[in-house]
Amino acid sequence: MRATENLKIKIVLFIIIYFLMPLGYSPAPAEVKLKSSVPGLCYECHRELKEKLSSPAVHFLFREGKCLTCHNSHAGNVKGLMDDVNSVCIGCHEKIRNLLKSQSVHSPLRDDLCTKCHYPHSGNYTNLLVNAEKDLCIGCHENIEAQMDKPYGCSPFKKGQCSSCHNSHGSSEEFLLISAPNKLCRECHAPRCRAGEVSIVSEVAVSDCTSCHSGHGSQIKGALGPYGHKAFLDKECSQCHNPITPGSRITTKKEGEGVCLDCHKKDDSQLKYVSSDIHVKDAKNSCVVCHDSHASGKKSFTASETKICSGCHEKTERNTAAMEKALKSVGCAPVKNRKCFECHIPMHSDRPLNYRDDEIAMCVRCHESQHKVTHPVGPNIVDPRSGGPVTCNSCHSMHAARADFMLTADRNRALCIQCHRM
Amino acid sequence: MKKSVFITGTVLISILLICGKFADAGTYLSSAHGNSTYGVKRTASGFPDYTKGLCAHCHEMHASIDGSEPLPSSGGPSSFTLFYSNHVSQTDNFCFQCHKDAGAYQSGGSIINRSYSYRAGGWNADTVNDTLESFSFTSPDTSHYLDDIRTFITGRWNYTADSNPCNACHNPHAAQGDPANAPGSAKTSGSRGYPVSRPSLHSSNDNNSWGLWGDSAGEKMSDYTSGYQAPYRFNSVVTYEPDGSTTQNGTNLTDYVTYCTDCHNNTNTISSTPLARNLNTFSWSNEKHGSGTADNNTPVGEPDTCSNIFAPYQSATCGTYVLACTDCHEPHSSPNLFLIRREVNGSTGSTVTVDSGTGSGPSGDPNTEWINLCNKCHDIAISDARHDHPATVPGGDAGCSSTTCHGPIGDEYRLCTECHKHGNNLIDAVAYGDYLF
Amino acid sequence: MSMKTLKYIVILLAVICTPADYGNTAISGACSTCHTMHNSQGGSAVATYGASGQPWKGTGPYDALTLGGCLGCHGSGAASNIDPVTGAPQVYHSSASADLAGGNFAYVLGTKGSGASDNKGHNVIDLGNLDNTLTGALAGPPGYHAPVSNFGSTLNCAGARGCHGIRSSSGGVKGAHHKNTSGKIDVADQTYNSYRFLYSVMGYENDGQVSASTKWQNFDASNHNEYFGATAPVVYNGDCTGLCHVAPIGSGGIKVSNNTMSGFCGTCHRAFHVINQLDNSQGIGDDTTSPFLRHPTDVILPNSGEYASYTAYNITIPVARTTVPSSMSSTVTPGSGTAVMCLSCHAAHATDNDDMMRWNYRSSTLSAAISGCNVCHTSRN
Repeated sequence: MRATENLKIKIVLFIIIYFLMPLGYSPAPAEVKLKSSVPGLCYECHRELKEKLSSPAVHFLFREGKCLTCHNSHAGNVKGLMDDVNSVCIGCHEKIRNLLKSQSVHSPLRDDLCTKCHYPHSGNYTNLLVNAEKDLCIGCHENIEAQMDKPYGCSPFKKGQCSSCHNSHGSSEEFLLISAPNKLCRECHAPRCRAGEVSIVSEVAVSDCTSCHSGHGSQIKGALGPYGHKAFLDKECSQCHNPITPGSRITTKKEGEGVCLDCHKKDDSQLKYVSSDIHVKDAKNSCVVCHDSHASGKKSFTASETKICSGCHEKTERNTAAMEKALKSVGCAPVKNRKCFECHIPMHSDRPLNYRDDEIAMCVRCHESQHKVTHPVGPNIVDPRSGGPVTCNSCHSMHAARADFMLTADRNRALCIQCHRM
Repeated sequence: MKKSVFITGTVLISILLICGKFADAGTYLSSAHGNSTYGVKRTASGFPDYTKGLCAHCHEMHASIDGSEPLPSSGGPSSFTLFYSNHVSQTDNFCFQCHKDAGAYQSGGSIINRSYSYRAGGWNADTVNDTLESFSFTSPDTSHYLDDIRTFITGRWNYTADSNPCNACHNPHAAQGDPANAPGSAKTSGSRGYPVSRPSLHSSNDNNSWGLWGDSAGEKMSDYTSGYQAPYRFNSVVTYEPDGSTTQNGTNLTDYVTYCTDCHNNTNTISSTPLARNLNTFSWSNEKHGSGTADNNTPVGEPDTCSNIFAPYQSATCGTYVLACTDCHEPHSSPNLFLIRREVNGSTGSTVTVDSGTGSGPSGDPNTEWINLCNKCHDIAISDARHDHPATVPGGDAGCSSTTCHGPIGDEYRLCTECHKHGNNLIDAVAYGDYLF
Repeated sequence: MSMKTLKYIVILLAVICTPADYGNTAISGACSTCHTMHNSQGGSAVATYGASGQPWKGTGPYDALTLGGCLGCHGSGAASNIDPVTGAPQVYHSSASADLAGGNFAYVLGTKGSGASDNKGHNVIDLGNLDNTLTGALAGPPGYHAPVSNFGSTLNCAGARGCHGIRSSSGGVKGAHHKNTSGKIDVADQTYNSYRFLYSVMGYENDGQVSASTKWQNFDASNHNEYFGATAPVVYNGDCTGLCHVAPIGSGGIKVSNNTMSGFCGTCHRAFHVINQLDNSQGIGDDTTSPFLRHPTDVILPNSGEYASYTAYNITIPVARTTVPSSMSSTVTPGSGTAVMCLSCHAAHATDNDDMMRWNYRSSTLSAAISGCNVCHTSRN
């Protein structure tokens, strides 16, 4: 009996020790004796870094010699013995980490490395920028540079102070603006909008300034445009509007789209007008659903798709966002940049999903080489899943792809065997 | 210690010797054609530099080489994948594409092949030096007639109408040079090869079954219990055929009797185009020059053709000798009738001339030239040739007066061969009672 | 459950789970291993290798949207006779591993063996090495039949002017890899069920039953492909129709009427194969008996003379079976069911020897030069 009792105790002890030992036991860390201390030890090899300590702008961790805050001493996943560059940066830069959740995230931050714009250790410019702010931005936004020489424009812009209006990392506003244009502009400009001699400040109090004014530069006084209705730019308001009088609402000469179609006659050879389109059938003026009526940053006068499309197509936007998060990259520029009108032109196309063109041809506009060599597509190639023709969209999804190359399934096999069942 | 070294060395040497035996080349690689040093080697425009002895020197597996036809352009395609027609005529044969002394496809442009009298008899005055030349002899000179050979062998021993008549006697994949690689020399005991294969063994397409004849025990003239005496070499009384050594009992000579009598016997009918008749049949088992007992059928007082015999043949054993066919005949051709050799038994004094059958003998008498041959072994003068005939011979003992035996014109003799020929035991349909030869 | 019962269950499971379907070796795995939809892979140009365009360095696109031409998979640069990544048999490889049964195209370019030579193999265009002889004045393959324009100046692995698959620009081996059958091949009415995709050819493919690592090889006497032969070659009577071109000429189908390996070779090298009763310009002769004008193929190995001694299968000189076998055999039976064939002497792809010979017929050592001949001609040594 006594022996049995002892055995039970031993078994219980064994179980306890067996399961608890891995949890609680760890050997005391051994004392690592470095040849010399950090950062001196690092500088023994990385001598050029030590010289950079004298730069005008120096990252404080670097200055303080805390090399190991960012770098592993032995191995890393990427060059520089780090696990991942961006992860290291936003590990500390919490604000920027939060901005990653913004509606708009600057593509270098989203798709590239922080080091595309910033030096990690030291530099000559504030915020360790790799170049002067103006030059850094224009380096990518080349088309903006031409506006700098325009006679009229936003003062910070002309000085190259981009960050006065834009948050270079992310924003909930379009164009990475620090705040809504209406609010942002008023920080410097008190509204002085007039139609002829009549002030219309009250009429435009809630308007987006950029619907008439360029935030950058323009040939027209008041920085109107840069693109706009000729009548507007010529200040011929009466061409569309009834006479504007102080204290009265501004009205158009004709109701609805009629005011537009007087001049913009239907021309099916180019862009037809589909009055039954769901997007406009309840609109007062179907044209202004998408188009700016006065000025625009775009030749087509189209409004920002992020404003007008995603408002209704929330699911598509969610899917797109999820896709962007899931995939290594989204190669379709219009999708990536939310240029919905590049592919969809409601009111001007009665094709499915208001496609601008034939589904295949539309992709070919950009993906010419991919179309030159491709899996058979076209009206004569039947998709066994749908019975319809095989198109680019048979394999690729623009808004809900689940696999690389915006494919609906893994290209290695899963995608193929949906049709090619052996 | 020394003993152990000796034993070990002996064992090792024995092993090497045994292994060396096993490593011996096969029948083809030991043949003249398949010799890697002096074997067949075709040279022609467009023909690759294949190693000597390779099949392609004779056979084109696809009737072309590397997709084109090397010279001779008229050569393909040919039976047995040969590069030229197997047999066309007496002087147009695949073998002659190389076996000639000028314009041959064999590297160097010629292959020299000497007569048996040259090679075995040591008679180096013979100017015949290639096989094509040999087979070009026409009447009154004689060659083994190739068309007739082919006709004869067709249907026999697995030969067909497509067979090359040369192959009746030679296995091209086994035949050795004799002497080997010394076409301009007479044989020596150190340069012997074995050139022939028995036609009757050509029963299957097996190079080993249809191997060489004469290279093994049981294939020698010495096997005849009645005894073989080798003739002298040319102009010698101390050396013997076929290799100029002192061997004279046939241990070094192929059993050409067995070999030749595969065809030339007393049962086969062989049609001869040049003679416009069938060849005489004979039994070498019974012939006096063969295994038959030679006797002296000459009347008393007449020269004893057996006893009066020249060396190296001995009167004492005169009746038992078995002669090899090649002792008197060339295998390929001769300027004489019936392929009779120009050099026989040393040919001391003169060469044998039996080229027309109407020429002069030693004494200038017409129609007695066969004495030129017989006299190389038998001591018979022309006068002796006028021998009396046995009573059984028509004309009785009338001797030379009988026109049965002698010509109608004066003293002109009838040809010896009218009576003295292989297989003749009949004269004028009357049994003579014995073989004259 | 008793131990005995347990044992039976284990044995039963083992039997059930043992893969036994050697007959179906259709390709499997990731499609992207072989195919690319837009002539790029991972966004980059399709992988190419080889200096100076050899062994292949195409720009694509390739038929069936594959990553490369035939050598793209079957000459991938793997350091083995089987690509360890894709499992594809390597008909071109420079490694020391054994050559597959068809040989190794690397010998043509000299990346393996004793040096480059056009003579060593079929100079398929994928090698990037046109045959200097055959594209010269001669043109056309050896033994070809007129008109030479049938052959052009290039030779492909598959499709038009190729060996594998349907011999047309739209044919090739399209889809065959996905349905491939292996082992006994006795249907041969489609590319996929033909011997090694040689349309209409029958045989027995070494499908790795003995050893997976020796699959596709003629490894030893009991582990090798079995080739299909006949007791007589096809008879050429002046009209190709019904002979090699069972399908009407021009329809894209060239089908061997007797389904033999040699007959297949004869579709290009006709002069080397057929029985020709018209003249001797082509063929082995007017029947199947000696003498032959050209070395016979699809003729029974006689059970007589020296041939009767070839009884143990020799992979250096393989022979064909006149009945499609159900398994590999280490024996040869002269006189019955065994035929000589083109591949008895030549390899289909390339060897280190001139004329694609299976042994060095041009060796300077005579015994070595005739060693292959001696396998059948056993007394010609």
